Amino acid sequence: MNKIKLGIIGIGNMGSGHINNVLEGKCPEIEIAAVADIKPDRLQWAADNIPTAARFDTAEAMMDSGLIDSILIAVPHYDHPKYAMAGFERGLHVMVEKPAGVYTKQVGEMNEAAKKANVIFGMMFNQRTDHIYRKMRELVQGGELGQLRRTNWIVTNWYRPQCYYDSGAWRATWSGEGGGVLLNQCPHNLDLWQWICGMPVKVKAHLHFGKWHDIEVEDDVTAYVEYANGATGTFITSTGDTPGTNRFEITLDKGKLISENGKLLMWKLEQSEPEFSKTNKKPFGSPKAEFIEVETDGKSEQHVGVLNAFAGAILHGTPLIAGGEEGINGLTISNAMHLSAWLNQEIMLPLDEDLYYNELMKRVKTSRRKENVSEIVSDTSGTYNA
Amino acid sequence: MNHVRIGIVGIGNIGSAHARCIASGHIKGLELTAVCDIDPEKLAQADVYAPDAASFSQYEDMLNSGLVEAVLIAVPHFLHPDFAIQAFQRGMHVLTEKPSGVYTLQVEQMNQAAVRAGKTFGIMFNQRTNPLFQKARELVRGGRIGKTKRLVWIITNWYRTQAYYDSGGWRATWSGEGGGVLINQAPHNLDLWQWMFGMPTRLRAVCNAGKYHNIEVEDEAAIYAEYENGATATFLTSTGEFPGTNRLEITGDRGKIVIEDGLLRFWELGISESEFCFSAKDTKSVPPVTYQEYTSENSGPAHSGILQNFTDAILNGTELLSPGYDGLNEISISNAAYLSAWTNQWVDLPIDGESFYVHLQKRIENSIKKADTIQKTVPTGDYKERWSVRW
Repeated sequence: MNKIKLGIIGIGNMGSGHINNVLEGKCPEIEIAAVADIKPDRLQWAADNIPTAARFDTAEAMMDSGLIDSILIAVPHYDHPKYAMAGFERGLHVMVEKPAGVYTKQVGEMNEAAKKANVIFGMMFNQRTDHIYRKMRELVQGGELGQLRRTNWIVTNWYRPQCYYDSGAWRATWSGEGGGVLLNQCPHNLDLWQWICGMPVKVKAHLHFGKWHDIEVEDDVTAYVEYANGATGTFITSTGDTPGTNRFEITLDKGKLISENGKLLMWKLEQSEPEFSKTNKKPFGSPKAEFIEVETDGKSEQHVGVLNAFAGAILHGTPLIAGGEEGINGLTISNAMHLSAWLNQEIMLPLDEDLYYNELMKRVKTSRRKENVSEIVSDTSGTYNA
Repeated sequence: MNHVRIGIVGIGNIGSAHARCIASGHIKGLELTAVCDIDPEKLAQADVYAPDAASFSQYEDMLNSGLVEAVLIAVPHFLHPDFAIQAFQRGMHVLTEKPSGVYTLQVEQMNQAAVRAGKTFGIMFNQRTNPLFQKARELVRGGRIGKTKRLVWIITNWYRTQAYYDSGGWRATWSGEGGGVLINQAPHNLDLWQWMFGMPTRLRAVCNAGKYHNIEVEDEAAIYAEYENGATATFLTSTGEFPGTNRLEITGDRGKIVIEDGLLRFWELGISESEFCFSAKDTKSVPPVTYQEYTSENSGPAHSGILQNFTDAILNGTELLSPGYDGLNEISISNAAYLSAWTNQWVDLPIDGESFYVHLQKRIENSIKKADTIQKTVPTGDYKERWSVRW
């Protein structure tokens, strides 16, 4: 069978997780031909676990080796665009772990380079494979529930203890990671939120930095947004709540959807509320609503699904789970939330990318060096809230 | 004294419901001896469901009649404090409908008059009788969830139609009602919020006026508040969504409570989150948690429960479930929300009442006078289902 020859850049938690999936035979069209990491102990892990893959201590050497036709980038966030562009230059297909980058300016450059390169470019938004989110998108974008009115996402089940933050020197610093919960856990949710409901036009966010943990970046967010049609949205997240909640509610003028606990509940109105309101004469009347527990196909292929679609796009021209150029959307919302909190004002989209970059760099300059780091590579299965 | 004689001023929707409840002998120790309304039609209706109560068209006449030692105030909101003060001045007990008033300055005056009078002073926060909210309060105030961290209340099932807003000339105008959803439907929720979780120290709010209805006041509001101990609260309400949602979540250092669909769910941590956070060695670990559910056979005695408790307080010194003074808290939150929305700024609590009053007056000056009624609703003297806790 035809396989893509994939090179993994960065064999930390995610990189090794992807490698393990391939080793377990879940990706029949992918061969991991090479790996690259700057840390010798990670290269040793690769030697022990996937000896057939060529090992490189720089990504460039791997990309120039002629051994690969595609790369998967799983290094710390700031370097995602840099390695993607290096891949595009060499005509390699590129899969980027989330987030697309740290600030939209660099991601915009990456997207431009992708256009010119004419290769397959994907984002690892594995949660888009989830049967409930796919169904929600179909129902909302399909229009049968009318116009968007309100979106509420309480996604506070991203709990992390302090030792998680101490497990990598790059984690939870402005200079190393570029942000906290918004940059690490929430790129999934922010992407899904905009994928299903569309992009907002205005963002007002209240962030708390190092509130629950000894970190300099945000671990608690309450954000309020507005959409072009006047709809409103709230997004609440934290890595300090436990047991936490994951409840995504969308209200439209002809119905309501709630995703919680693995179920999708729908209320569908017989006529849209505005239509009802026009003709109704009874002060205490209300539209008729039908309640349905929505059936879905139950499938959620997650990371494996994204990898297989990547290979499929390269070999057969079949669709990706998430186009790489879409990574900028969720990141725009996250950048706007940071900026809103830093400047204590509401932020209009499109974002002032230079303003964001300058404000971020201020914080990078004073970013602290972490002392109590015990480098841990963890098996992260079960922590993705998929 | 072995029973209390009460007069009700304002016998519209809610006033007539109270009148009928008391007149039918439902409330032990409480006798309805007088009703008062400027509308002769309403007085005529009262002759039917409360035939033994004397009728008055002027409040002062009822107060001076010698027929009552307590009053229940159910007139439009702006008048609540003034009517209460008049009753206190005559040494009467007062039970006022919610909200306590429209702006904090007038409510503070009412509270001061209440203190001077030293009489029983209650407010009709009937949702406090709901066993689930009482249980949540017990868990929070009793320390079971530890230090409070977060409250999120999505209370968007207050759907009201345009016909509803058109049904009273005073409704949904700055000059008549003094606000929209925050002053009419949401006072229950704002009161419960602070009753269970405490008062915040500052807030930001967005209030959208006439978004879903042809009205000049807000039919949608979003409030974000912060507390001295670092906790945050998010409160979302609307009268334009259907079916809407009523879901309250409270998280603390030792647990989480969710109240939805008539069920209270309680997750209790085996170790406080803050302790666990800094002692855990496994990056994937979470504290151990046990789960319990509470439900109640009924939703509490609601309005009649408040009436009975008010009566018992007068006759036996029973503690009030809903002291009138508490009304200042929720009105402070809603006034602050308006002020924040109007000025697009943070507003600190306790609120600068003067500042709010000035802004409110501007809106009253520009308030549109509505035709008195487009479709009158006939008060039927029932406690409507829409006034109870609705999931």
